[in-house]
Amino acid sequence: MIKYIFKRIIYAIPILIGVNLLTFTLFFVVNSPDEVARLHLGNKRVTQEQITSWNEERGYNNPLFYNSSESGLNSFKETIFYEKSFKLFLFDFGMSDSGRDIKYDIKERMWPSLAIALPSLLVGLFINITFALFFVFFRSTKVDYLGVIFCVALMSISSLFYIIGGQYLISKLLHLVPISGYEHGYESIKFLILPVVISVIYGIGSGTRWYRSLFLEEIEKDYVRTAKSKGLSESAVLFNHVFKNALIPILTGVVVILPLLFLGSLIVESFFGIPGLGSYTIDAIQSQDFAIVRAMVFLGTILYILGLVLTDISYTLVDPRVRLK
Amino acid sequence: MFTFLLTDIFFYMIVISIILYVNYVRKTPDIRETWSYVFRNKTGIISSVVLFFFISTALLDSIHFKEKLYDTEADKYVYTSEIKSLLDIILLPIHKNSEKSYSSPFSSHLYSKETVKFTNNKDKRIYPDLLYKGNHNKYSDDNAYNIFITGSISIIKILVLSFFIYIIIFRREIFKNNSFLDPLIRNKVFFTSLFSMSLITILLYDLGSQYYILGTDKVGEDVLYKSIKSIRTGILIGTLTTIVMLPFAIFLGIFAGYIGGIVDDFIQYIYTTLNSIPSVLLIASAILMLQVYMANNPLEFENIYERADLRLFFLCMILGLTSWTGLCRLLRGESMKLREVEYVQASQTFGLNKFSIIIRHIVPNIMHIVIITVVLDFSALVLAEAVLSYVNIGVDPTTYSWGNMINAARLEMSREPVVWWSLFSAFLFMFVLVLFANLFSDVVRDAFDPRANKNYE
Amino acid sequence: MTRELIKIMNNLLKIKNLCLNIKSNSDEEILKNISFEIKKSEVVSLIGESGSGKSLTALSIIRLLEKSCKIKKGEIIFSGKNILRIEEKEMRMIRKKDISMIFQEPMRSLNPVMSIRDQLKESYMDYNSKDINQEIIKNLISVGIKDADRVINLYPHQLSGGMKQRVMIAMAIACKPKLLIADEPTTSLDVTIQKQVLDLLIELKERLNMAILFITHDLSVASQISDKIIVMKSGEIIESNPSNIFFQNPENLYSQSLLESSSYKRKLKKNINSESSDVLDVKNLKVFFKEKNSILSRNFSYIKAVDDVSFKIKPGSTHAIVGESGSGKTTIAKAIMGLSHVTSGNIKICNKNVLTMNGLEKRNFRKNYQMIFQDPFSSLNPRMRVGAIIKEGLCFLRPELDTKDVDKILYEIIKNVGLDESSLGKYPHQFSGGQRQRIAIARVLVLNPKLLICDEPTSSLDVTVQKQVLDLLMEIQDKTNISYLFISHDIKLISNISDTISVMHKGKMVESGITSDIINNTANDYTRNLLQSVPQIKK
Repeated sequence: MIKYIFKRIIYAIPILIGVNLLTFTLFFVVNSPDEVARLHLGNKRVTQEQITSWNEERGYNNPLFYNSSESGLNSFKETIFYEKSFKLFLFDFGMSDSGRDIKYDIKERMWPSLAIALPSLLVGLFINITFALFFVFFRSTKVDYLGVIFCVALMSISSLFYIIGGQYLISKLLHLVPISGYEHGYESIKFLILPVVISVIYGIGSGTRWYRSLFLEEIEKDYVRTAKSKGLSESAVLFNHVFKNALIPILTGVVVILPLLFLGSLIVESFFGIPGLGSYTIDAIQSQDFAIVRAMVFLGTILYILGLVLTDISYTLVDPRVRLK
Repeated sequence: MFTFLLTDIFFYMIVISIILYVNYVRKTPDIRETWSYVFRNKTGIISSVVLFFFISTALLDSIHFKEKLYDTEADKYVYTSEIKSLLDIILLPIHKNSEKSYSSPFSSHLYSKETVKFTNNKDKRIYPDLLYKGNHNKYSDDNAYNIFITGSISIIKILVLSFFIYIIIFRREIFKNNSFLDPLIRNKVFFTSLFSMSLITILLYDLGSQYYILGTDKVGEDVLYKSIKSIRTGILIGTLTTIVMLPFAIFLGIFAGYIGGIVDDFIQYIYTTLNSIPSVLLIASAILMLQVYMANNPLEFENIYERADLRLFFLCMILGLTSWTGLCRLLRGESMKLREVEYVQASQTFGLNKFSIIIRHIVPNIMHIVIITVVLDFSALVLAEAVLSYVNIGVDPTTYSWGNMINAARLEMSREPVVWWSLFSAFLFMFVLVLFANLFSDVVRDAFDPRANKNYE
Repeated sequence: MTRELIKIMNNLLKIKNLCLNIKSNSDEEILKNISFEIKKSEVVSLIGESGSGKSLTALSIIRLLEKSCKIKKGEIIFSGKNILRIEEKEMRMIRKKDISMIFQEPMRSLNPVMSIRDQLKESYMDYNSKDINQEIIKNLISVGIKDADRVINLYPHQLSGGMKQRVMIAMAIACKPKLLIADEPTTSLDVTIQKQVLDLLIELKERLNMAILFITHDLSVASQISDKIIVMKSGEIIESNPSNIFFQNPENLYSQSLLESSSYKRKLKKNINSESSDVLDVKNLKVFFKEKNSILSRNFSYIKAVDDVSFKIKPGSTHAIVGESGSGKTTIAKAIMGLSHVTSGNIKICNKNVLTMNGLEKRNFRKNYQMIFQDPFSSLNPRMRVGAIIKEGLCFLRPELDTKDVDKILYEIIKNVGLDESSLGKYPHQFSGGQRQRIAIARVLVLNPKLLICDEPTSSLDVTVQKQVLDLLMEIQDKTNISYLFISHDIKLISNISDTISVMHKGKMVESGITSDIINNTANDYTRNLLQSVPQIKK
């Protein structure tokens, strides 16, 4: 097992390099640092001096790959590529364009993100599976048919409506919880309820349908017929046999996104003013703070790869057929 | 003078390829059989009719031209820089004039009080009357009665129209022998849905020229018109993106799966890398860079219409370039399976080269996956547009789009009293389009997916 | 004596006028007026080809039909109760106590994520009792699983096919049922395993004194075990007779043809000219597949799919390779056709080494050797018309032909394989399995090959269709002096059609020689075992 994890980490390196090169190309080659600086400084009537000083403050004044004015190893070190891209591998995210320590911000902000994302995931999972089992139990009946139509209808509503509608209904009309904001500690709960509820409702449509189709796929299989021929009741078949088999894709599907929960949800956080990584990213995008976006891309990739490794491991735990080599 | 925006050309290409595909389906019995499952299914037929109306609207909105005007100073005809579409002309009674500011649906006055000077020099705070619609009733001063009469006339119009269409087209003998059209013509669900959609269209049109059915926005523009104009954006994003993505997904997927070896390793590496970046961040990065580029090179994008259009086009490109990985992986898996299937092996024993085997055997047998993915992705992309526009990395702020409407509605919702109709209209149009696209894709998946469970749907 | 005893006992199960149809199409009856009886501890075999409705009859008895099926009328009376009328709850008790069922595919019929213990537990009435473990182990031992205390903790994927079927049987007999329904229980098993499972069923029947409804397409298997034979064809019972009467003298014409087809005899054998040079000469063929142990280490282990195999085929003769699943017989075919790599050895066709040919040479030479595949459903591209399918190789390997010639050849060949000219414009899904196999034969015959490799060409077909396809192949051989390399698991069939034979076992050739020599007096233990396992019709 340890050998396997070690191997997966080695596999991840070329992927991280690829991601790094891609972001580097996007952020520094498509547009030169000068052009970015010009945009930030307001386009018109910007002098070259202003651009140079803007770049110098943020360390964008070096050449891209090779610094001919330096010698030896430094001619590679004193470059944008080394400073801005290579250092990510050392988890050195540097300073944001507005001069804040990105690493510190990430550490601060990942917990509120998790505080929303984790309960949303767990509650959603529970509700979706319950609904799916319910529909599957009544398969081929009106209940199931209407349930599926209802799920499709829920799926067809943009997440933005859930958020705006939910905010309006619960906070503004009913005055149950505050519209937005955040406090640390236990006080945070009243701020978290609404976003969690909305995230869960938003996920019901697609989640229930997905799990329902997983269950139906299993229920078609021959072993279900065997179980029935043993005289087991419908619910025993559903829970002991179908559920156990369908749990494998469900569980692994959940595990793969577990690490990504730290990144939070972009729109939910920004609508509710939660100081998490999601709103951090949105703010960075809207204020065109590229240093933060780069850091988040790298972080997201690492978490995704971590998710893949965890998925493989979880397979060995739930599926007796899988053994890692 | 006709002008072709970049997205127009691509949209025409999509429509033409759909027509070509329909023609191909007509000639191929087994695929025709699969599609006719879609059109025998109630949900399938209703959703195709609704989608047809949406796509037609988008198509009308994609025929652009510049108007010829007589310039008195220069004493010659010149073309306006403003680009209009055929849809604009048709909808002229609806959007011809703008009011001053917000007004609620079917209202006859503005939404907020204003100080108005009366002739006797007394200032009064009243709700000013709307200038162009809402109090120019055609048939009666009583609003409810007027709406009833207008509606009745619309219904009569549509009845007469359908009668003539029935006489002229459907009684013709040619349809009797057409195995594809004949059952369609005899399908009651088809006619009911066609009739209802036409009725809704005409009602919206007739009422829309007398009232602001869905109110007006901040600058007094008819919200109904804005919502209808947004259809094109939504549909373009849903279709153009898949067109951009398909070549990558199909070619790379098949090559990776069929040829295998180092080609497979390389392609797998590319899509794993792309896949491991959270997609929103990837799209955001690409669009941010595009914004920088466009901001720094303003000369290349003179006309605001062309500029907005180009941004829409690039948005589709970027969405396409970041979303091919899923389909590619599916196709790779399927091609790998097909490589071992006996009819492919039989061709190998004839010594056919890889290229011919791919064209003759692999491509036709993976098309069902492509079709399922295309219809399935459509609704997701329409929804994605709204979110991206909200984050400011979507379409140009001047482009009509539901995302921009929702974005604007955020402020309107926090007003007192609340302005709800912009959000409601965007919700309504988007919901209808996405819902029927989802239902349609469900039926298509049932028809095309060999594993799909037709018993339970 | 036993038989007379049975007669005195009353009926266990009685089916009266059972009619069944599919909900979506209520006009067409899939089962038409099925009526039969099963007496206590009697073995009744339900025989029929695919689509005859034999499995549906069985599933009606245990009430596990798919929801799309509907029983229109009829009665199924078990121990005095009409089980079509009783509550689902009561039916569950019957499934638990009185009627059990085993299925065709043991791999798919066991839950992959539950241990054998957990799955067996569910078969007992009182599955929380303390000594349930002991019960299960005893049960497993009784179905011939020796190391039961180890097996009990395993998962299905860790067992072989035969073991899995034993576990299924253990599950079915756990509650000592009065009736066991066995739906093709041996069809997916190798012939040696098949014999073991059959013997086990016979033994259990005696010991537990239970009745068995045995469903099979294979008459010789049925003859091993049954007291009564019921023949079904397209949803109807066409004959029902005691076993001894049926096998000696079947009443119905269809039953006769079934019986006839199940032991295929070649009509005419030609003298083979042993002087002429070989069409195919395989020498020391080895095909190994690398299995990486891990990415980083350099150790490979090899799977020896084909290990040192040599044989020859004379023109106009049929050589057969026979072996159980996993013996490497298909790999040999693929290696010859160039569909699989070759580790070492020589393959000569008409004295030319096909392994050393270059691309162009090979392309010109390919028309001399061709292959037909096992499954006619996956060997024809579903998106191509039959004409295009047959034309494909012709146009590619004989580009000198113009369209007129090609069309002429097509018309000729489609008639030769016994199909209509109009078939050329149709798609494969419009044909039945046998017709599809004819199309597959036509596809390779247009090239006039000297050697045709037939990889289990009939094993997925019904017996009567099997006979027709074999007849066609033999007829072609008589006409054209083509050589066949016939690959099959069915040593009985092989012994009747081949001139020479090679027996494969785990990648190695155990024996090779003239068919009659090997069949009649083999020196090899494995071959003898194989031959003895083949069920013969007991008269």
